[in-house]
Amino acid sequence: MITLEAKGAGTRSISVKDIEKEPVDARTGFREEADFSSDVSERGTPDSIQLDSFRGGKPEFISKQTLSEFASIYSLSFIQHKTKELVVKLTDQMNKWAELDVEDALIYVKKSKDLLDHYSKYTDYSEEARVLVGTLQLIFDGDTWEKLSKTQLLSIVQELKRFKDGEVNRAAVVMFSKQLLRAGINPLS
Amino acid sequence: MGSKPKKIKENRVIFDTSFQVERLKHGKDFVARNIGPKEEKRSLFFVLYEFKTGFLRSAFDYYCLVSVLASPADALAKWSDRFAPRELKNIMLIESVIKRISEKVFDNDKKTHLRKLEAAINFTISTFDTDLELMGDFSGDEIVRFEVFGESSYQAFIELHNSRKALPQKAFWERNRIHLDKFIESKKLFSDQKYEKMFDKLNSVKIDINKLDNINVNRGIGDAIISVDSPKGGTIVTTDKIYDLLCGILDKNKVRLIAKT
Repeated sequence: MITLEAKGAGTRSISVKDIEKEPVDARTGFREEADFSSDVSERGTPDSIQLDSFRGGKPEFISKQTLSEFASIYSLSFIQHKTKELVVKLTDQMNKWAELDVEDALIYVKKSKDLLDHYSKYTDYSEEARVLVGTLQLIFDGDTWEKLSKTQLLSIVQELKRFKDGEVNRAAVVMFSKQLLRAGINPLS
Repeated sequence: MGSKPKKIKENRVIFDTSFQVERLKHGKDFVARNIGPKEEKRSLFFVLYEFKTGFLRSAFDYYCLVSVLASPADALAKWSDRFAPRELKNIMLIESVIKRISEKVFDNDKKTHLRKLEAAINFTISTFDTDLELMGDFSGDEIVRFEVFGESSYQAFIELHNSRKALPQKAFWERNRIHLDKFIESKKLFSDQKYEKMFDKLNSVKIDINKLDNINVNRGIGDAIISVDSPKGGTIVTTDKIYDLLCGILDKNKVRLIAKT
């Protein structure tokens, strides 16, 4: 059984002692969802999980099954953290894409699409984040991305900055859609 | 020195429901190709009402259909056979847009398909009034004011719509009785078979305003509402031929565009 060991009874954080490393996805280069520690530490956060921010109660030993239970009830702060990661990585890929012609940038298009697919399992738990990711998938999964000019691409990057802290609210998502349309990007046409 | 007389906005354009649905398909290009950059772009709260009870309601039903069936492909096949879009008006247009969107967001994975469908629906309502000011009557109507965002709002909207299929229009027609009279006086212009039904409905309202409680009457005179509710001096932009007749009777301007396939 894989366990997460509490650092001390009643303390707030727990460290990952012996968690099996999930294989890295060959396509995306990302780890699968059970590996929270690498996801968190990747952004420079200490190798610990604030368990009580995911679910109330005293952290003790928890099984992988329990881990997946709380994975299905991600807290807002965890979704926010993952959304922030997504925005950082996505804008990075899109900035690299914008420096090239589309035929030379396919690797960045692919990476962007993979990022959205990968992070959707976290963002699906927040309606606002889900709609945001869904809107971006409309651009990347169809043929809209092929028609994007450099200016349009950079305007998406610019508009994504409103979510750079990982906070996604309704008004910002609505504004994001309006700004796409103003930039001449209609994922439905 | 007297104050300047208020300038009549001759360059004000008012988008009707058919134009707004058409705009969904073709985006900014469709507007830019047909409307000059200096035009003041407007639409009506009533157009938003028709958009919500027509296109959006049908889109929500389609979303539910995808959710309950085994695959997105099943839903797409079943949609046009068994589930008619809700409003009488613009049936073909609404059906084609929903099919188009569904094909556009198609994904064999149901979860992904639903996410993209939800995002597409959200995009349509979020961008409905982009760079567009809404005006006219019905701004206080509860369906017009209902905030739609994401799947969690679908059920409440559907329940509200189910509980009130007829839009309260009596006060509107009481205020605009003079326009109603003009339509009735122009009976012979409605002689074309396509327009006879609308005339009969308007006439029944003229005889008894309580006929507006009848859902068929209530829903069947939307174009007349748009033509009356649009300000004089503005130009109604539409793809619907009936405005040739209605705007002619009311002496209002209109531009009819050919719907792009």
